[in-house]
Amino acid sequence: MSSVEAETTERRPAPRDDTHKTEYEILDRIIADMGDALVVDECYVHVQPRRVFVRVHPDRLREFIQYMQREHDMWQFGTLSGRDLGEELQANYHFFLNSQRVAITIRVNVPRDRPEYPSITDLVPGAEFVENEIRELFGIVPVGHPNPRRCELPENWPRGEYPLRKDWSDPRGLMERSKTTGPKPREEM
Amino acid sequence: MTSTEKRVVIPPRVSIPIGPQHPALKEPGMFKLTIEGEYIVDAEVNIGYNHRGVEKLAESNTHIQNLYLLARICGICSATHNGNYAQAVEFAAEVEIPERAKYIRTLIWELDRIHSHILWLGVAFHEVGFDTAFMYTWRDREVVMDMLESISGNRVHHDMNTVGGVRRNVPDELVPRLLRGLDRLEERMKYYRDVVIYEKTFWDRVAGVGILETDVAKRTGAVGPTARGSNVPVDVRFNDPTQAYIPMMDTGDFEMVLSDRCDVAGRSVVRVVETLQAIDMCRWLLQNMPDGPIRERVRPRIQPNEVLARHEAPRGELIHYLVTNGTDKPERIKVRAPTHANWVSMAHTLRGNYLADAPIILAAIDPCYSCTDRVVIVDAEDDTMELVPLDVMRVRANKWYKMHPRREE
Repeated sequence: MSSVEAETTERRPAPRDDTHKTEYEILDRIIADMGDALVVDECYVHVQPRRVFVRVHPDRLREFIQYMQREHDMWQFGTLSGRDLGEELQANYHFFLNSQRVAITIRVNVPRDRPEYPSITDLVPGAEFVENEIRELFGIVPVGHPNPRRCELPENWPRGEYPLRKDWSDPRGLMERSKTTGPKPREEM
Repeated sequence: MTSTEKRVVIPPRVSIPIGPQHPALKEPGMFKLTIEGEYIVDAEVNIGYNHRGVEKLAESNTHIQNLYLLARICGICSATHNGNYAQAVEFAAEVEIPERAKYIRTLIWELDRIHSHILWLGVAFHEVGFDTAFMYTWRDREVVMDMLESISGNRVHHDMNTVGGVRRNVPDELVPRLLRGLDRLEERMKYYRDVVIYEKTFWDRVAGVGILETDVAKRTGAVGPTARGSNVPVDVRFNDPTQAYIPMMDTGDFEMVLSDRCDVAGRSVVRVVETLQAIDMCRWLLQNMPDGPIRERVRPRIQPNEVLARHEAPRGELIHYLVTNGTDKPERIKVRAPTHANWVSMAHTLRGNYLADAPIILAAIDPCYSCTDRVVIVDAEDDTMELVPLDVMRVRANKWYKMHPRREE
């Protein structure tokens, strides 16, 4: 499935009714205040209750996070998940607006040949481990991370191999072997 | 003796790596503590020794296979991963599951919370050298383990959930037995609550230890009893209820357990009171359980969708971010287990405490950890090296406290 198709079909916006009133109020306010920093076509309220998704231009991400912290009292950080969309890679920051009880996902798309965007660890200290994780597993580099280090993969993992990308070809047969119950080959013991 | 000259004594800085490996236990992690005398001045957390590639493997499995794969992420709170993935797939397929299935799923979650909190309580008693209470709590934990076994057939990996409902019913003749078990648990838990709060053996070791201020807990994204012990109101059961939590919260009988003590004692009190609350919740679920079917058929191919499923696991908030693509396999599944969110605040919590308090502070976030089993003490002065298992360190810590009792008054 191409990235464009996947992008268009997996979004399931909710109708503007009473059950999603709070979510639409938040989204409308965000678009009114920071509309130029967003990709407005890809910002929507999901049919699942209490879920808002917004996409931000990578160079405006820090500004947007600061705006959310200032205006919407956003302090609860969930996690950061990477996506491989084919042409582009995507970083999804999951935050929760605790007082309004809404989960907001702030996402940035970065091109595959230059996957860089500004780190937000100094604004949100809770993102330290997960930003290291996305750099290792997806090769998406949060530029300006205060403490870049290897945290998930083994020390001898080769450079430039990112296992959670869809095109990772598993050159050493790790996935095949992990499904068997037999012993490891002798040279790895 | 009578020298008036002022002498400045700088204690040597010693770096102590705790961890990372022990073959007999699960989930290794590494904590590098820099200490000055008895004080911890700096701490660094290193994780990832047990990265098993579950997220990658899950992308090549079907949703039904993933239910069992994700349940194996954790051995203590297996019901949470299993149930949360099932509800994530149901959200993505946009199906409503039968009411009775929701109640049974929630019942398993709450029984799981009771067993996990009692287990933690025993570990905490053990870490401060109060082994009698450790044996007592684990004996009483058997009551809830038997209840889980009588419902699901398994003590540890219940695997009760499937996409569209649950796999086993709770027969009506079992309900009185479960209620009797809950009565017994409540009686025992009230006793342990009093032990935690009034027994000086325990309280003196945890009061004022491992301070995590409210604003730091908020900033570093702490979750679960660690955050609630610092007066941060994060509890998915109340903030983002799903399944049978929705009617349960509508009754208004339950309130979020918070403590403003911000130390290990606060976290202990939150856990103990929460266990009592979970017993009440189980009772409410059993008494109000509706009749009807327990599962709904869901087509294996799930429409393209992206969902964020949240659940309050015993240790804190569990997040599954699931993207489906129209096939019977997930496009992407991201798992954020609660312990991972608590690591960031750990370094801050350790700083400024005694080395002897490190075991209980590390245990206080209830990590899925068994990693502090061996300690290497490197003395910077003469480069000697000593391998110390955690047991020896615990004995030393208890001996140290015998000589330096904590007496403020």
